[in-house]
Amino acid sequence: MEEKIFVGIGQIVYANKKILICPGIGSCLALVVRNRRTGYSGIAHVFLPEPPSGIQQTALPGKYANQAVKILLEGILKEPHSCAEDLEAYQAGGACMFHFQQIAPTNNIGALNIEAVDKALQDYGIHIVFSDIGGNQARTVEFDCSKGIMMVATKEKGRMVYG
Amino acid sequence: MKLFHDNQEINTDATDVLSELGNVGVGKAAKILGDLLGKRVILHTPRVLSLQNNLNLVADIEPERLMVGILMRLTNNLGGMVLILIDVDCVLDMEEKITGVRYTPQQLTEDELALSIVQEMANMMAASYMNAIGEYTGLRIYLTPTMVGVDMAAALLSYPLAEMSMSGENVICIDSCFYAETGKEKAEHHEGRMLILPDEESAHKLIEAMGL
Repeated sequence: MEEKIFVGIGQIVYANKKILICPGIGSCLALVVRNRRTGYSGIAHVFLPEPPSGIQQTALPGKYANQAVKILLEGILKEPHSCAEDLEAYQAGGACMFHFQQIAPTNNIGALNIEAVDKALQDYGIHIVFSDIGGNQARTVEFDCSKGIMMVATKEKGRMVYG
Repeated sequence: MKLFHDNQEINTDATDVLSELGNVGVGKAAKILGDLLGKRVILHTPRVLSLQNNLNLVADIEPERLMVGILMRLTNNLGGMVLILIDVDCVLDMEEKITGVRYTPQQLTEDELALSIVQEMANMMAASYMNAIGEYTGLRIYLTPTMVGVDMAAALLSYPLAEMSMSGENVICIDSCFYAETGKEKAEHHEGRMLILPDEESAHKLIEAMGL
């Protein structure tokens, strides 16, 4: 059994041969960037698309999508001999937890998080190999760093494994 | 009086007052729940947290616990959000007591009657909470219609935290836990939580109305 690490809101965690877990993700988004050659991976538990106006610094590196992607990539590329071409991204989350019609599009934080993360990844040219996003169900996301497998569990569909 | 000191630390005089308001409010709300269930409901003293560095407020509960979340917004004199989280079995027990039907968790959002009972329960709880606060502070507080979700606790809890955090980092939360007897085993309890998230301006209004 490999060691499991729980990742709280706004945290970024790097690991090589561990299992990273974000339990009960709703409108948040779990973003994993992995070096496919070495297996070195990082996960960010993204909370919001961008900081509110007037706030630049935060104690939590993974809280805001635009900052999280930048910090996560820098962290992964710190590993010697790694280059951006080896990186691939996995994402899950961004659900709308309460009844759809009653939440205005500007307040659908799940959708805004997805949009912000996708845009940031595109800017850096990182390819997304797996995504399970949107909908209206909470997810528990696990990532096996050594194998590069993302597992997503929901209350209805149970546990699904994606390679 | 300011809610936050210049160094971003939360002012403890202000949190004491807000916690006291929360105590009065959640007392009234829990009374309603107890009456509906026909069971005793035990309360914990509310705590007042700044969301800035306490996002793992979420971590206090079992993140994957299946719960019913009911969300409302505050309007008129106050702005912000109210979230009620209750164990799904507790809500199903209450519905069974009222209708004689044992619904499934899924029906709580899909069956018209089952859904309207949840909404009514939440309305009564939140309204009595806000009435109590209104009496103390002289503020007139209205609530918008309820939004219901049945899913993992952490996911339901993080939504209002996220929406409130969009407007700024100085957001506070009055967080009260309560436990309802299940009626089966003595030691067994259903868990519930009531969170009030006033926006920054409203939090100031509340402490000013209390004479701070």
